[in-house]
Amino acid sequence: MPLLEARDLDAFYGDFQALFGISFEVDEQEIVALIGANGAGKTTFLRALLNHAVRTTGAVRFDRQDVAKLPTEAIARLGVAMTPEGRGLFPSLTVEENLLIGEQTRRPGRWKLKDVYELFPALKETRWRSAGQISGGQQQMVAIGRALLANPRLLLCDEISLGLAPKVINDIYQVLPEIRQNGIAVILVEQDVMRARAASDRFYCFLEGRVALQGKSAEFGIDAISRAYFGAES
Amino acid sequence: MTEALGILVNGLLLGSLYGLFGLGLAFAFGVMRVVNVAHGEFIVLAAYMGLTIAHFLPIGPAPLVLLVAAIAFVLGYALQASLLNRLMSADPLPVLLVTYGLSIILRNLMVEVFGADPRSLDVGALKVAGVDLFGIRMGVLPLILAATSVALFVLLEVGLRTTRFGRVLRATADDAATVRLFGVNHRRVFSVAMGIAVALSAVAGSLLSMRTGFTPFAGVDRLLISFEVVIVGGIGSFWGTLVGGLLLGVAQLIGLRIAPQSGLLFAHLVFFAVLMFLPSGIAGWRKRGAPPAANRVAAKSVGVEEPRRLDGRSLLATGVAVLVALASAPALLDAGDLRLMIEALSVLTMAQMWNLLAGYAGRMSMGHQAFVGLGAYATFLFSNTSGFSPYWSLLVAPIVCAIAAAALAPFLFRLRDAYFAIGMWVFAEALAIVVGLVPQLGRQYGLNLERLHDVDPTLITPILYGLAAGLALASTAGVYLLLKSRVGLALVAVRENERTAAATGIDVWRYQAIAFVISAAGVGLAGAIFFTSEFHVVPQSTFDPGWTAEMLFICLIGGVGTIEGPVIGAIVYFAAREALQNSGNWYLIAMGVVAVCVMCVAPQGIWGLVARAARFEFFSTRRTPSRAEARLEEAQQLNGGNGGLNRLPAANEGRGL
Repeated sequence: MPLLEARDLDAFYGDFQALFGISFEVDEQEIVALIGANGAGKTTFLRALLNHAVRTTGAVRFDRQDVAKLPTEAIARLGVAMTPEGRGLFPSLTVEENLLIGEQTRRPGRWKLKDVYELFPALKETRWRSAGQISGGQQQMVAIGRALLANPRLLLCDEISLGLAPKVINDIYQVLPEIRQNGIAVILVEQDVMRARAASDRFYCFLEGRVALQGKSAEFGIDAISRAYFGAES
Repeated sequence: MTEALGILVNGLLLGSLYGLFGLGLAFAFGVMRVVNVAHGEFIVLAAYMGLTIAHFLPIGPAPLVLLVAAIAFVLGYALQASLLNRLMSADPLPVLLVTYGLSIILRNLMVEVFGADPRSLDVGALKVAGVDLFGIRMGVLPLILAATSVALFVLLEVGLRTTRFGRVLRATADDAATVRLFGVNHRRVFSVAMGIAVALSAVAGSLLSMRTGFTPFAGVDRLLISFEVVIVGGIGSFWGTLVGGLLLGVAQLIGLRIAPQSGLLFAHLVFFAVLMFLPSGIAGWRKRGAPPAANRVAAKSVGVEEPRRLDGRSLLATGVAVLVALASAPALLDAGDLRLMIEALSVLTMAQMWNLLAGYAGRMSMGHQAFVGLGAYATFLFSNTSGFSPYWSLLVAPIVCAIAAAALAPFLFRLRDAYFAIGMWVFAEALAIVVGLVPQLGRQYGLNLERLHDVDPTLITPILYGLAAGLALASTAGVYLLLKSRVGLALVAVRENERTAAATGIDVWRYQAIAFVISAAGVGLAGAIFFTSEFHVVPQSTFDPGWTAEMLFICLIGGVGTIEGPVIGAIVYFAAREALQNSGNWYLIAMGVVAVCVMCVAPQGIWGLVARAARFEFFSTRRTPSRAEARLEEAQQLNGGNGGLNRLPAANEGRGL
């Protein structure tokens, strides 16, 4: 029984349909990459799982429970956390206050404020600063730390490497194994196919709102994935 | 010297309460971007609650205020949870309209329940107790009130900074969508925030009622002063709000020393001065930065199917039928009914003009009575002093109103949405006070129309009826033609998405100012025609906020942002008013209830429902494909419409590489 399972999921913005019959699975402690070009529907899919800012039809089961009709905050309290597109930090709050917002899910678990500071020591030094005044890499760390403090069972990461220097990206990707070891499954939205393939157990490639290719990351070469990515005739 | 110091100190003490008024408004706006127009009525309601509780429960002032605050919290929570949460969107208009309706309901319910006589909360000997501090005589009560007010500012600030819920409130204010990702029910946060806001206002209201008397009609003054406090202090700054309150309190007391009848006039003048010279308020003076512009993508569904229209012949037939009906009215109706028709047609014109500004230009006004009064007074004054007949003098009204609007636009347009709406209201109130003070305008007693001996008295009513009917037809047709023009296209683009419109090169302010000036001129002429038929003007009836309430209500039930809406709304409104004319205030209460219900159930109004059900439009301002082709060049220049995802053709979607 997978941790999360979506069946025939459609998603709409107004009259515009963004996703078409997506079927998707994540097992416990699995890292699944979601790759695809701009506008393929990756972010929309993450939103659809959380019923957030998009209208959906179809089935979503999380931890054997039907969540498709639940409000976003209820799904969050069941253990799905997200680092949203653009990080979604609260600029009026300090770094530490931003992190503490994660605890609003009131889920018991391993992650406490000090664990996040151990995972990202850089944040401890800037904890009193406004979230708008720290570097982009630190902001992404806050977004991840905030999601971890929600003590989720599934973490949705939306383009955590966007706009960051390669070294900073490496730092952030280094924490993924540790997150997984703590019993958290991850869906990783990524535009960098190489990096996504290396960091994940399995992958799904979206094209124009549909699953174009899926499989174990180790079994597919860059060529096959790239063809699905661009939608080229094979 | 001592007297000046005394005025200053007492002004500061009064101002601290004004600051507390503003705090409730500023807090609700800060968290939810919502302006509660019924804010003033809640303040007055709190005072009446205190009065009622004190009547039945013998408790001291402090527990009384706490009890009132607790009840007010529940009221505010219930208001947000049951009504406002479902109306919250990027479009501020629904919340404004509903709370405006609510203010009418509350005001008139209070008149029915408590009567219109001034009351005040009796605090016994405390009221007159005084102490001498530094040689100045100060009341003990004002000192306690000021201390309470400052204490609440501190409490709110500390609560927001240090508590867990304060943190969640600030996060929700930043980004209500993202807090949901962490298990926070943003609607509950909003409800609690509104509860706090109303409770703060209730504390202020019950404290003020210990100092000064109040009537059910005091809500307007309370709302306006709260709003001025927020603007003067700088939107989004709590401490600025306190400073704004102090400033306005001092200004009011100095003003009352200079001119005892001036009421809040000097506070209003300070407000306009700040708006002119420090547009982002006192707090914004030090750290400059424009407030974020609301991006208002109207959530209006776009029908795919093209609605039907009348062909030219049926349109002509309908037009002729309306003309014949209107033209035969003087022969068929008696003088009383004809005067009612003059009022109905004048109000229809006003509603059409209000709708042009609110429904098409996206600038809602709550002070359009200013132009009713201005137009009427201009005509009366001109006719009485120049010797021209009243008919010719009518022409002065639209000119004066247009000039006033053009002069007002540059700095009133600095205010957005609700703040513009209430800013107009302040203008109207200030104007009413000034007119009531000027001897040449007859002060509170008003003016009579003097040049009546030259005109045939039997013809006055029919002629004015003809003018009112002609103006109603002309304004309806005029709005239609305006919307078909380039200006109309630009206006709708601005309403749908101001930023995109501005980015495509539309001068947002210019087009909104055009609509504002036309709207003011139309309302002024209609007001002048109506009051000419009454032969008499007084400040109280010409500058009555009820005029705007009528315009707003008519547009609301008929359908805001349609040309047919005001016509239908006016017919329904006047039929209902005549049917309920012996019910006293209850018709106003019923009007408020209907307004609130329409906004919740059918925000598109009666005409919106009809048009959707029948897929039919009388005055279509849509651009049909053939016409759109002919106007391609124009569209390209002004292309700023609702460029949402759902409007893009499918071919543009898909591969983004």
